[in-house]
Amino acid sequence: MSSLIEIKNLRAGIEGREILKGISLSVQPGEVHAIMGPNGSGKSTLASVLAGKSEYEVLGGSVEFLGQDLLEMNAEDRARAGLFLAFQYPVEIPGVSTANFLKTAVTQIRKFRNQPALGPAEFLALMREKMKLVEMDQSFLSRSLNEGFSGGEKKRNEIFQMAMLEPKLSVMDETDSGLDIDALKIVADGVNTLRNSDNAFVVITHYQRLLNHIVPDVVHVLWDGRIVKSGGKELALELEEKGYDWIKAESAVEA
Amino acid sequence: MNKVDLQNEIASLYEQRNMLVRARSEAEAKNSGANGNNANEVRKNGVSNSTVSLSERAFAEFSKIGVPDQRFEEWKYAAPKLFKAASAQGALSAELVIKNAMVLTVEDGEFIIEESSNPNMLSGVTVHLISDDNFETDPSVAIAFESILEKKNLPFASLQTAIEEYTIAIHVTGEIEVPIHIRYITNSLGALLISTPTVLLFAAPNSKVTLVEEHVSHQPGNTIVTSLTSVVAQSGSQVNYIKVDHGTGQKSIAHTTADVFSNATFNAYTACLQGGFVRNDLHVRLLEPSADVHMYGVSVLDAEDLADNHTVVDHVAPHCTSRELYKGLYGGKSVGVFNGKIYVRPDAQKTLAYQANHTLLLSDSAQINTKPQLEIWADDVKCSHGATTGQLDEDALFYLRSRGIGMQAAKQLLTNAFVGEVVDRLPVTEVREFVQQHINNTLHVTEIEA
Ligand SMILES: Nc1ncnc2c1ncn2[C@@H]1O[C@H](COP(=O)(O)OP(=O)(O)O)[C@@H](O)[C@H]1O
Ligand SMILES: [Mg+2]
Repeated sequence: MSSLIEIKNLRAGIEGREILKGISLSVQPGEVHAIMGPNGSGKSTLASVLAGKSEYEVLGGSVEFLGQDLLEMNAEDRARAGLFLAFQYPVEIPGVSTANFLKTAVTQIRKFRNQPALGPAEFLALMREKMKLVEMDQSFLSRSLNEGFSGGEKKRNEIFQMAMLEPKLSVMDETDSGLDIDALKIVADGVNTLRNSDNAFVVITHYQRLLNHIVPDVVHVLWDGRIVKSGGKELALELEEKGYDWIKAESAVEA
Repeated sequence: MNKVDLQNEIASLYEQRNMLVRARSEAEAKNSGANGNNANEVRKNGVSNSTVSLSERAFAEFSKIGVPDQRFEEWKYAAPKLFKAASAQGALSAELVIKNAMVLTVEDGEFIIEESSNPNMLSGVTVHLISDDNFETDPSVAIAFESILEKKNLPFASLQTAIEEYTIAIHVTGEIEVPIHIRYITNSLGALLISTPTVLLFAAPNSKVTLVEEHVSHQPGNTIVTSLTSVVAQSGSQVNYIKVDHGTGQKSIAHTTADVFSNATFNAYTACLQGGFVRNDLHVRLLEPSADVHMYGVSVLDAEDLADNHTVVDHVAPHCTSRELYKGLYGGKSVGVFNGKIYVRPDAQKTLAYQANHTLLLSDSAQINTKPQLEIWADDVKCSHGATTGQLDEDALFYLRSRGIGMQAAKQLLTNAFVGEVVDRLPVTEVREFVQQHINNTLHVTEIEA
């Protein structure tokens, strides 16, 4: 089986400062990987570099996504090819309605994927169906994108978009932060519904509680720009119990 | 063209006008004998009057400043562009067609009756063409001109008052749903200066009307076109005033005044769509309690365009509200100017006055000069003003692109969202679509620097 994404020794930084110091990660279709790690370890940077945010400079390594050189592609082409980033901090865009935004995105993506364009009625029906998945109210469609949304509403909107765009690989950056228990369950159920043998998820989180609902195949610990430990889902429980200090000690010994 | 040429042209236009009026009045005197010579206060020509005529007073007022140069503060940014050749591309501008509208066409300063609607097509509206030695037939006209003449520092408005030969007076007494669409078309390639007929709009108490003034030039050229519009919104009336400039090849200099009385609403919408050179002076007075004024502006510029919006909101009476929102999209080497004056007179307690001017610079060479000027003599008022200038938000652009939306489409979404706050408010569907289409075209051809 060929990897969905193959990250090899990826190094990246900003303004001359190295943040990712050689990351290797390989995700197969059907898998869920969790990335945990203390604040500032580089989790969001990894997500941004994968999504193609140009302010980060790639310093070395390679990323192959569905057989293509991901680092050569611009942000929109990565999304069209099937990469999705659920933002830690979704951006508020006044004056652009959620519906209009999604219409533009879906139209461009379908064109890129050689799928026929959707008519207005079909598109509306599709939006309605996918909103149900995260129990979002239809009134959000006519509102400006994320503007005035609560933290939880923004996160649900991210998963709603994920459902609309049908990505192959979804990177979820702390989607659980700012969610209460009920909302967490809704979001997790939504993600589980979207899981299939063709797609994969990289779930970035601080807490093991999300992983009770979205059960990972592999857990990685990111520390100071490196993956310092990988293991099964028990690793998340261990981290929850003991914190990160023992890992710090371990990696200090290794280094 | 240079300043001396223009000054000579103006002197000769004024002389021509006086000759014409003199000839007319001599003919009239012949016809009516000695009676035709009665001095009449409201007469404009004054050739046979004992009092100094309105035209002469206006010309004297004009002469105080003359053709402005950049030492004249109010024309600091516009004056240097006044004699610069307009951009060579006289791109054919689309036509603005408003369904069912009452159309009045003015071409190169002349009213074209064949290309205008029947002036009696709407009940509740009368349209009169009044030559300026016939003001006595409509006393409100004389009053309107007196009020225009009171305003200082508007050289081109004074000039137009001095040299124009007739006035279009529109009286509205009913609630009119279809817009009145005045088209000012410039075709003349050679003329240095064209002065259009002054438009006076009188909205009677509780009447309702929408006036659309479209200034368009289809030819490349450099003609200076002046226009002057005066609105009186009587108590309880509602007046929508829309001014659209598009096309290239003319230098459009317009002065619009509005006097707003109790419980009346005056909504102004000003769209500068690559007019090459557009100077708008929009002066609004809130003269009686509970007058309500909205002023929206959108300027979409490219190349060497200039759009200079000078606004004055004069709160004379208490309990009035004014809200002003101007947005600019400036690409190329264009220059935007916004100067917003708000006066709150001593009696104008409980005034609410807001002003905002927001700009997106689409290129590094574009510039905006913005200057709010608030003078407040009353103490119990709420006034605010704000101005921002920026580029498209990087984070927003990345967010959109990360959803598969291409760079160009992402920029269009954000830019349309920015101007949408004004464009979406345009109360005439055809105008709104016209402006939107123009913006789409501009964004399509402009390489926006993110
Ligand atoms: N845009 C940026 N500019 C400067 N420093 C950054 C930027 N993004 C991330 N960093 C720095 O890189 C490190 C990792 O940040 P981040 O990837 O956000 O960590 P995490 O998501 O794991 O909390 C931090 O020290 C942070 O300050
Ligand atoms: Mg983070």
